[in-house]
Amino acid sequence: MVSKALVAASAKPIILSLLLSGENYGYRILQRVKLVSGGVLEWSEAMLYPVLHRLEADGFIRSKWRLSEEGRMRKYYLLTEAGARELEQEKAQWLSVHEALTRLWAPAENPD
Amino acid sequence: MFDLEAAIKKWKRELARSLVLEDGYRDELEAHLRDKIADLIGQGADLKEAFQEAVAAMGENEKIDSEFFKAHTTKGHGRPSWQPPRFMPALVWNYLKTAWRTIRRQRAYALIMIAGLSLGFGIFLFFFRFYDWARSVDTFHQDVDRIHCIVQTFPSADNRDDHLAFVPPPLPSALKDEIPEVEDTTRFYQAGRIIVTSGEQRFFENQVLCVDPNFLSFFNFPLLAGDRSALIDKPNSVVLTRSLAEKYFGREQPLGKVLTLNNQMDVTVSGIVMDWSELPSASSITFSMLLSLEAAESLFRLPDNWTVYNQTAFVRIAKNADPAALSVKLDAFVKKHYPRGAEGRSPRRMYFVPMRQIYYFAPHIRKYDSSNFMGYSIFLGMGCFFLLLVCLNYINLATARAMDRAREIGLRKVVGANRKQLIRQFLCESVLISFLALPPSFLVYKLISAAFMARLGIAFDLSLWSRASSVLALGLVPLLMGVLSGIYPAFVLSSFRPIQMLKSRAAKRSRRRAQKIMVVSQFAFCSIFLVLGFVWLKQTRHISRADLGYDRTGVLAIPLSAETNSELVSLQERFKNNSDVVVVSASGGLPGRWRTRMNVTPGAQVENPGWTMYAYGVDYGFFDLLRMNVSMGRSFSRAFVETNSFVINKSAAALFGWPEPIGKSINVGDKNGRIIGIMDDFQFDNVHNPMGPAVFYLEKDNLSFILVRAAFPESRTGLIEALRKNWSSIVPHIPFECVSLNDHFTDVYFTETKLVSEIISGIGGFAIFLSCLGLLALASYSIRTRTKEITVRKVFGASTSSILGMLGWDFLKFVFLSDLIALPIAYFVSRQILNSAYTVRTSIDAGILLLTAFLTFSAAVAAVAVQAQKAAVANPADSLRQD
Repeated sequence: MVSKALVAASAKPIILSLLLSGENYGYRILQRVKLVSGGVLEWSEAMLYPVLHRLEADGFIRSKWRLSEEGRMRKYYLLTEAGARELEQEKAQWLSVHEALTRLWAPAENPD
Repeated sequence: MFDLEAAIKKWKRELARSLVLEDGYRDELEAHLRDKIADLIGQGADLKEAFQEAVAAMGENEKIDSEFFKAHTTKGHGRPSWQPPRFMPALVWNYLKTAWRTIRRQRAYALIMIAGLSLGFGIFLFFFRFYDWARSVDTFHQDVDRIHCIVQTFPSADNRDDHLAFVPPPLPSALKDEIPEVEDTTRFYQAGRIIVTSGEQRFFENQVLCVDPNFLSFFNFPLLAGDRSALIDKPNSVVLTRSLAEKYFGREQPLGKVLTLNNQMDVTVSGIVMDWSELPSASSITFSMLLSLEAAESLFRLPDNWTVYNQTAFVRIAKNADPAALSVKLDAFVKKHYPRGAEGRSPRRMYFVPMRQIYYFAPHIRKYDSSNFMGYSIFLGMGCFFLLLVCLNYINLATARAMDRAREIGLRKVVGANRKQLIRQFLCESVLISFLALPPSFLVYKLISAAFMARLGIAFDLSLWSRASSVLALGLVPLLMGVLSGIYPAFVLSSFRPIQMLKSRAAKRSRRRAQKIMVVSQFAFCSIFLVLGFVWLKQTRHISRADLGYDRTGVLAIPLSAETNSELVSLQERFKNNSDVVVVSASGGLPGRWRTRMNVTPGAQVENPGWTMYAYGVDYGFFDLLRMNVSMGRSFSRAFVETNSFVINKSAAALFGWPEPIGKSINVGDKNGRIIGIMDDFQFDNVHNPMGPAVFYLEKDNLSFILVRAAFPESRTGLIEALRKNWSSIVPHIPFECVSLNDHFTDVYFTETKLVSEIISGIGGFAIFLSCLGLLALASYSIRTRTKEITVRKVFGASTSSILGMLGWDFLKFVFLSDLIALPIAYFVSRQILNSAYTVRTSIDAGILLLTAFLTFSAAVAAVAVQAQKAAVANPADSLRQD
C-alpha cells in the first residue's frame, strides 16, 4: 500500500497525465488508476471528486456535461493549456526525485 | 423486486443533507454510482448487491464531506470546520458547572445518591483496608519472602494429614547443618503462664516467648531501647514490649531493671520492642516478653529430644534455592532422622510454608497462634457486592430522573450538542457526585473500623494514607464507580430525540424494562445479604446452645502454675469446703480450644502406626464436673490405682474396632495402659473442626486449671471472693485469677462467628435502607408521570383503594420477583458456607427465608405507600385543570 501522504501528493500528476491522452470521466479515471498501478493505488470514490473539483478550480482541467453512449449524462474532464504546463513542471519534479532516489539506491555506482 | 431508481433517489436525498456539496456534485456522484453498478452487473452481480456495493464504496456522507474539505483547505490537516473538535477545554468547566447545578437543583436526589455512594465507599474501604492489612502481615521483616515456617505432616485419625508447625528442639540446627539451602534458623517456644514479680507487683503473663539468641536479628521487630545482641550475650536477660515495661516500671527507665520469674529466677531487662499494635504492619508472631530458650530450659525443665514437638521454627532459605531440590532434600532428611520403627511418632513429610502465608492463609496447619479467621476474602467480596448495589441504586435513580431532564436534553441538542458531548456531560455529573461522596465515606469508614476493633478487642493502624494501595483505591474507586454508574444513564439520556422531548413528556416504554431488571436485582442482592446475616445469627445461637457433649454453665476455672501443683490437693480440699461448690476437679486445658494431641496405638499390634488423636490430661471428678456421660465401664476413681488407665470416647473405640474395648491395652504417647471406660463423643476443640476420637488419662503433675462447679451460677461474685480468700491462705505468693468457662467459650467462639453475622446482617440492613430510598424516588417519579392516568381512572369511578392497590402492586411485584430469584440462591450459598466452615451447624429453615421476604416486602411497601397514597387521594380536578 502507498502511504496516505504520497497518495495525496501523487493524485494531481496522475490525473493530469491520464487526461493527457484525451477527455475522461470520474469512474473511468478511477479504473485506469487502479489498472495502471497494478492495483497498488486504489483511490476512494470520496477522494477523487474533490480533487477533480480542486484542479478545475485551479484552472488545470475543464469539465463539461455530455450525453454518453449509454444515454446517460456524464461529466467529462479535459486538460487545459495551463494543465499541460503544470504537468510538465510536475513531471520534472517527480523525475528529479526519482533520479535522486535511483542513484541513492543503486548498489555499486556510488560508494560514498 | 428491487427498485434501483427508487434506491438511487433515496440515496441522493440522503446526500442532499450534506452541507458542502456544490452544484452538480451530486449528479456527478450519481453518474459514478450508475457506472459502477453497470460494471458490477456486467461482472455478474445482481441488481441489489451491485447497488449496495457501489454505495458502500462511495463511503458515508461524512467521509465524502471531509474529503471534499481536505481537497480545498489551505490547511494541511485538521478536521473540517463543521465538525466539532474532539476535545473542547472550554466545555470542561461547563460540564462541571452544569453538574453542580443539577445537584443543587435536585438536592434530595443528590443527597440520596451521595448517601448511598458514601455508605458504599466507606464499607468497601474498610474491607479493602482490612484485607490489605491481613495481606501485609510480617512485611516489616527483611527478607520475609525467604523466611519460611517448618511444617510437618502426620497421619491423623480421619485419614487426612495432620499439619503441624511444631518441631522437636534439635531439628532446626540439624536442618541448618545438613541442608546448605537453609541459611539460618530460629526457634521459639510459647511458655504457658509465668508469674512475673517486680517489687510489690505480681502478675501472670501469658504471652511469653522463649526464643533462640538470634531471634531479634533473624526477625526485625523494631527495637526502642537496648540492642539486638542482648539475648545472645546474657541468657538471663529479657526483652519487653513497651506496654509491658510500662505496666511494671511506669515511667522509669526499664533497662537494667530486674524481674523475678515464677518466684525463682531473676532476669534483667535488656531491651524494649514496639507493641504489636504499633508495628509497621501486622505481625503473625505476638508476644509481650522475650526470654532466652536457655533460661526457659532451666525454668520449665523443657525436654530436649526428637520425640517432643513443642517449638516453632523458622528458616531463612538461600536466595536462589530451588524448591524442587529442597523438597527432595527434606524428604531425605525426614527418612534419615525418623527411621521406621523409631520411638514416638514420626512425621510423614516435612515442608516449608512462607511466613507471610502461615497466619491468615493456612488455616489447616496447627500452629503457634491459631487464627482460623477466614473472613478476609469474604469481606472483600461483600464490599465489592455492596459497591455494585450502590451502582445499581444510582443507575435506577438517574434513569428515573430522565424524564425531568428530557427538556434540557432536547434543548441542548437543538442548540448543537451532539451525543458524545451529552454522554460526557452526564458522566462528568456522576463522577462529580461520586467524588462528593468521598469525604462522608471517611466518616463511615472511621465508624465501622472503630466498631469493628471494639468488637474484636484489638487496636491496629488502619490509617488510609499509610499504604499506596489504599491511596490508589481512594482515587480509582470513585472514578470507576462514577463511570460505571453513570454510563448507562448517560447513554439513555443522550439518545432522546429532541423533537419528541420538547413536544411531550412521554416516557419511553422500552426503557422501563432495563429499569425493572435493575430494581429486581437490587432487591435480590438485599435478600441475599439478609439471608446470610440471619443464617449466621442463627448459627451463633446454635453454637452457644449446641450440645457439645458437656455442660459448661456454672463452671469456674482457676489457672494454676508450676508452683501450685504441690498444693493442688489442699487447694481443692479448701475449695470443696465452700457451701456453694458442688464438685472440684482439675484439667490440663479448657474446653473451647483444647487441642492437645498424641499418637495412640493399640497395645498388642506392633506394626500398627496408630492415629493422632485428642489426648486430654484430667483429674479425678472431671467427668462429673462437666456432666459428661460415661456410657460403658467407669471413670477415673480414687478407689483404684489409675496410673495406667485410659478413658476413650466412642469415635476412638470405633477406630480401634474392638467389640469389647474395656480392658484392652493401648499406648498413648509413650505410656501403656488399659481402657477402663467409654464415653459419648464431645467437642473440646473449636466448632470448625469435626468431633474427633479422644483419649483421657489421669494427670498428676501438669494440670493447668482447677475447675469448680458452682451450685448457683448466678451469684458467682461471692463465690469468687471466697475462692480468692482460700487461695491466698495457701499460696499467697501466686496471683489468683478466675474465669467462667462460659465466658471463655464465648471468647473463643463468638468473637468470630458473631462478628461475621453482625457484619453481614448490618450490610443487609444498609442495603435495604438504600434500596428503599431508591424505590421511594422511583415510585415518586413513576407516579408523577401517571398523574393523568390516575385522574382519568378516578373520573371514571375508580376508588382510592383500588388505585392504591394498582400502584402498590406495580412495584411490589418486582420485590416479589426478586425474592423468588434471590432466596434459593441465598439458601444454597449459605448452606455451602456453613458446610465448609462448621461441623456443628444450624439448619436453614423456611422461617429465615420467610422473614427475609417479609422484611424486603414491608420495606418496599413503606417506601411506595406514601407516594401512592398521595397520588390516589389527589383531587382529579387539580391535575386536569392544568391542561
